Amino acid sequence: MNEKPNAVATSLVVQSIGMDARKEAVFRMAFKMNRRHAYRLLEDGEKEKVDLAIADLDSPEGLAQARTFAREQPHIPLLGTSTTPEQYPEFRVLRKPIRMETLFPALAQLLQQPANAPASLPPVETASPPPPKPEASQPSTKAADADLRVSLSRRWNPEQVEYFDPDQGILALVQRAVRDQIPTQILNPEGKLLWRILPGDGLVESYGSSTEENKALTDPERLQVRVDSSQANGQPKHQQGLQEFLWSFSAAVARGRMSRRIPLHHPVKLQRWPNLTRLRPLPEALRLSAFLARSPASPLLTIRMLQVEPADLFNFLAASDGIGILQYGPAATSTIPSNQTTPATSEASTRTVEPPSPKRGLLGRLLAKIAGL
Amino acid sequence: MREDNKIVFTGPVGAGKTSAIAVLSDVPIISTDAKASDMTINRKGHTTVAMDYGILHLGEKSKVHLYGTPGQERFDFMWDILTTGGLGLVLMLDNTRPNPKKDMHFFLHAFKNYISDVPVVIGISKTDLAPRPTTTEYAEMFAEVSQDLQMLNPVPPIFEVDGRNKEDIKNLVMALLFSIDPGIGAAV
Repeated sequence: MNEKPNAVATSLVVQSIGMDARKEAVFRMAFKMNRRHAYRLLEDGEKEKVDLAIADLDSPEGLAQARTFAREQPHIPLLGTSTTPEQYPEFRVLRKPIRMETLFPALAQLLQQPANAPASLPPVETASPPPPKPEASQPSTKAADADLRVSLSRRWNPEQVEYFDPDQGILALVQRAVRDQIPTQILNPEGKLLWRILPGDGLVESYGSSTEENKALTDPERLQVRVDSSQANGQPKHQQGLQEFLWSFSAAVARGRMSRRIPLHHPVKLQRWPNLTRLRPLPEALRLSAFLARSPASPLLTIRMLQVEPADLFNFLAASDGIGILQYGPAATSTIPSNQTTPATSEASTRTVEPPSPKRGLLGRLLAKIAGL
Repeated sequence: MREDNKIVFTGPVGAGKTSAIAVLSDVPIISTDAKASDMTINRKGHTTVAMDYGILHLGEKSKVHLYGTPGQERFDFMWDILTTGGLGLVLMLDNTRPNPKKDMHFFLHAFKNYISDVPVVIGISKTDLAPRPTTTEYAEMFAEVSQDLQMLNPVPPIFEVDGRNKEDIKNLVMALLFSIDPGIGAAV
């Protein structure tokens, strides 16, 4: 049985030259995140026809290997990468650090040029609008799309997303209290004080046991909120930072549901990483932070790229929104070059996605090792 | 395919680099501590004068080398040697030092060539002794001090850490790995 989606077979195959596992991983992820073209890195042991090559000219073997490759396979376009492109006039060179907004226009330009173009071609150093892709290279086919839809439908149907409204209910009350700097109490349905929110001090005092708190967080909409007019509440059992509380409280209110405030089909982005060592652990928070801090992506794309459980993503997004580090709408998309965006409605049906491999050689083994320490 | 399996820990004296490597290493770390003889003595009695070295074994054939740079600036000639190749940079900052922003600026610029090619993660230590600057404030400082840098990950993780706490260091290094490739280890 062929386990790879057909999309893979229609991708442009890219051979890396002079790169270690980490650098290959960067390109592999960049290719997956690209929205218009389907590039795929040639993996070890594969013998497919190569469409183009990317060489790290700064690595110890990269330059020599690139020259050998260019000599032996002059018909295959080659893009060099270097911190000093001017040193390599014989290649088309992209200046490091490599960014999505410069990489893909450079690759598109490369495909438009004859592979054995004169050495005096100017180095590719800046982004420019990508020319139309050659007809023969169009990767997406109806068969591939159908295959992809079948594959996704087995896991999750975006039309069945359950939503909650953060602008209604207890979360809205808590957020309002924080915004307006109003000391507030949260009580359980029996009227017992659980938390005092002290926005002026950036603190939340806890008065319930951990059992009572956990129970309350399983159904936060039943909690009561009132203005904290009393100073005599006894001694708090412990206290936490306001951000820490808002993170876990927002995730608890979400309970695996998507916030109505956050667009499912449009890009979102993390303004900064959450301080994950001091916040309540949420599943996949490290991976999601890395992905969404790197570049904007819609929640739908994030689920498909990272193969995370939608509920885990929705909780993470709600928590990040709760502490004010999630950007969406114009704030998120302003950092995306126009040549990297596609209409949201076409995102699900036209892009090809290769599921991530569960094991990525060195990085996968290192991750497993550290996680198991 | 060539693999440079190396993670470099850097930061000022006393920020917790040696402790962090000790937490991760499969073998007792090789440390080149010596009695401090300069201003360092005000912060700790012994300090790393050459480098720390630890190993993470990944099966029989591969391993990841963990290097800690000496914190004093006069040893910066060694840093280029340590950072040739590698997976990424862990910058540990001590929140009790007089000017953490200056430290951040110094170390990011000292490694500017390296971090154009590999990701960086930032661990803030001793926040129990000095709660400010907060990680939010560090993120704001970072935006200022990195303006002239070309970084592979221009929005790096900034976590509070205790260098002796295994979970903190695990999370910091896992954040480094996910910064290289958020797809690693994903369920299919």
